[in-house]
Order: sequence, then C-alpha cells, then structure tokens
Amino acid sequence: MRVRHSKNTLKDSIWLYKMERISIFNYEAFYLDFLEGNLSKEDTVLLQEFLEANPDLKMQDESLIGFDTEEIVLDSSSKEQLKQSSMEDEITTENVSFFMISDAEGLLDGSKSKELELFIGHDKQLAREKELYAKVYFKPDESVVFADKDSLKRKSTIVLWPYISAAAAACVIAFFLVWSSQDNGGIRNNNETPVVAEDTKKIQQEQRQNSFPSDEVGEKETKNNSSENPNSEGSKPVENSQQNINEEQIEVPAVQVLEKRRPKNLITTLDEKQIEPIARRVYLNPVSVGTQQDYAMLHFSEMDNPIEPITKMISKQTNSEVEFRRAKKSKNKPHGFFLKIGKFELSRKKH
Amino acid sequence: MTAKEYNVAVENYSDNIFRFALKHLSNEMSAKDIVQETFTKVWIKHEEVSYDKVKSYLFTTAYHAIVDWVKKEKRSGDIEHVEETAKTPSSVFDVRDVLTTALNKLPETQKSLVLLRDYEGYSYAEIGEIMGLSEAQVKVYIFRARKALKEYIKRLDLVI
Repeated sequence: MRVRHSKNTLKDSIWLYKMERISIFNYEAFYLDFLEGNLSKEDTVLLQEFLEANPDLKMQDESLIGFDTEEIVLDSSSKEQLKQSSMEDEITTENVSFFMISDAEGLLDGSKSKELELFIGHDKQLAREKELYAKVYFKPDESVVFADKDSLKRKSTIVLWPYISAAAAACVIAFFLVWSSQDNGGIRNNNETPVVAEDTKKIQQEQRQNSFPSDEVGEKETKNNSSENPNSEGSKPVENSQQNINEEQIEVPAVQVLEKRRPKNLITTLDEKQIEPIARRVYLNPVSVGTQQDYAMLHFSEMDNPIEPITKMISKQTNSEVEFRRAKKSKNKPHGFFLKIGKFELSRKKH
Repeated sequence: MTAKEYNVAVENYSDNIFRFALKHLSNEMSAKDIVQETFTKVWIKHEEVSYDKVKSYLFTTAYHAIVDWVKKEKRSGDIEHVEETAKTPSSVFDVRDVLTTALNKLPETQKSLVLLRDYEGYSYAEIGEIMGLSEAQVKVYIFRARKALKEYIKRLDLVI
C-alpha cells in the first residue's frame, strides 16, 4: 500500500513538474514548435492538456489551428520570377520581360535585339513596357558634391631621422676638425712629408749606420774589392763607405727642432765604439701609434664608414685626412669606432 | 598607396561615395558620416591597398558602413522618419523624383546594386566583388530591381 502510494505521489509530482513547464507565459512558444513540427510527442500531450485546462486560451488556439498551411501558395508571377531564362531561349510572352531588361542592360547581341523588336512589333503594350524599362536608370546628380574634402586628406610624413643623424654626424666631425686645428697651434703637420714614416725611415737609416757592420755595406765592400782594381782610387772601402754614409746624412732634410738622444736597446758588437746620438723629432707622439694599434684590434677591414660622402667632402675642403669608421659588435669583435681628423685620432672599443 | 595617391582618391571619389550614401540614407549628415568613416578606414589600410583597387575598396567599405548604419537606425526606429521624408518627392511629375521614391522602396541590397550599376557603371562581377555576391546573384537582383522600379512608375503612369 505504502509503495503504491509513493508511486502515485511520484507520478503526480512529475505531472505537476511537466505541467509547470507550460504556462500562459510560454505556451505560445510550445505551440509554434507544434506548428513547425518540432514539438516532441510528450510535449504535444502536455500542450493539449494545458489547452484543455485553459479553455480561455482555446479560442486563440483554434484560430491558429484553423489556418491551413496548404492554402499558402506562391502566385504565378512570383514563380515566373524565380525561373531562370537564358539568352538562347526563344522570346515568348512569359519571358519577354527578361529580354526587355537584358536589352536595357546592354546584354543582348544584335540578332537577339532584332528578334525582340520583331516580337514586340506593333504591340503597344509591349512597346510601352520596353519604354518604361529604359526609364528605370539613374544618373548621378553632379551638383551633389562632398564639400569638406580637405578634412579627409592626409599630410604626407617625411622621415627625417636619417637626414638629422647625418647632419649631426657632420656637425660632430666639423667640431672635432675645428677643435683639433685650434689645439695643434703652431705645430702643424706638413702633408707632403709624413712625420711618422719619415722619422721611422730616418731612425732606421741612422741605426743602420751605427750598427755596423751591416750586410749591405759588407756586400758593397766585397763587390768593390772584387770588381775594382785595388790600386785605383776607389780601393779604399772604409773611406768610401764612410763617404757614402756622409752623403746619405747630407741628404736627410734638416729638422728644425731636434733632440739628441742615445739609441736604446741597440744590439751591436761594437759597443765599445763611440756611437753618435741619433736625431729624433720631439713632437712624435707614440700615443697616436698606440691608438692605431688598438684600432687595428677592431678589425679595420670589417669596419665601415656610414658617412663616407660627408667625410670625403670635409677631407677635400679642409685638405686634411678625415676618416670615420665603426664596427658592430659580434661574437669575435667588440663594438667600436674610430675617428681621425687631421692628426687627431679617437677610437673606442666597447665590449 | 601613398599619402599623395590617397589624397587623389579623396579628390576623385569622395563625391561618388557621398552621392551613393545620400541615395541610400536620404540624410545628408549621415551620408557625410559615412564618407568620413569610409575614408578613415581606407586610410588605416592605405599601405595594403593599391591605388588601382582603391575605388572598389572605397565602395565596399561604404556599402558595409551603410548596411551597419541602416541596421543601427532600424533598431532605434529613426529609419522610419528617413523613409517618410524620402517618400515625398518635390514634384509628382518629375520622373527622377518618382524613381528616387521607387528606389527607396527597394530592399537595401537591390538599392546598392542599382546605384553601383547606374552611378559607377560597375559590371556584375565588380558589384559582386564589392557586395560579396556571386555574379549570377547580382544579375538576378538587378533584374528584380528593374522590374520593381518599372512596375512602380507604370502604376503612377496609369494614375497620371
């Protein structure tokens, strides 16, 4: 008994739950689903039960049910509109509109156009139709213009940064150039006689003279001894060599400011011999050579000059050497740059 | 497309876009807004659009802007007022005004097709490209629109 009672209670509660699903607020949605055939059988039963329980809604319901979908038909003209004609079709009263529109659109070729003319013939109604089709075209009103065109236009932007950076670089170079020329004061380098190269050469010559016997002199002596008559005037090799040396010394251009200095680390077998001090320019700056060595570590050949036209121009105008090089950082080499303006040299390495 | 070419496009096509929008919306202020919006969108993409294609790109952008505008206005209900003002031609006997009224009765798609065809002389394929339709669809819609327009002026013709 208790079990049966509990079963009935469960059924009632399910029925109540289902009945609650359909209410006066949502029954229309269920009904539309029913009309479209989307309502399940279970819900259809529930909807019928709901409508029976609410007879006041039945009138509206009946009016909806009474609407026979089979009565909804598409009229013949609409059906005709859906039909597709082709240009190859024969012109008939059913498709004449299609050919009239095609003619107005400029899609008909000469023969089909003539066929259409023949078909229309003296039919005033068709002629009027054709005339009307020709009228349903629009021409733009040229007087209607958009007045505020300037508000739409955009100003073109010129990328100035390459020019600005080039100008800045030129200014920096010019500054260094002016600064270096002021800093040098009275000691100006003569471009025609490179200082470092000349001095190095001279020192080497003087060292050769002092560090005798040299191979070259020895060879000369041997040659003189072998090819010439020892009784002749040139048979005094020592005197000749000394004379040659003296001549070479005379050929060395005069240096205004000289410092006499005893050569250091000069290896010679004639240490006992009185060695004459060599002449050396005072203003030879070893720092600059050192800088160039540092610079060489920056892989000079791999360094580029991004402002080559500018440096060339300045070099030409100032008649002095102007060079700028830079190297980008990589695994093997550091980032750095090198700037040379006349005698002034500046280099920097960054790791 | 460079800035210079873009400015040339403004000079050449802004009137066309304005007339196209005005015919659609029958509202000068809204048509101007459409022109502004169209050119702003094209400027954003000007580096990707070549000058040869800019005209169709402008009309595509304008068309979508008009469709969005119509949807928005329909939701707010303002479109009814626009349609009402567009319904009243200055002279009943003026065929141009009658046609404009008839045009405003067409669905938006057909209206755009007719305007692109008549105002700009675009081919069916080009119109299809602008409006995202096939060439066959364009042809069918244009034929329907012509027929509808003809029926409208024929009705008035009988009354007159």
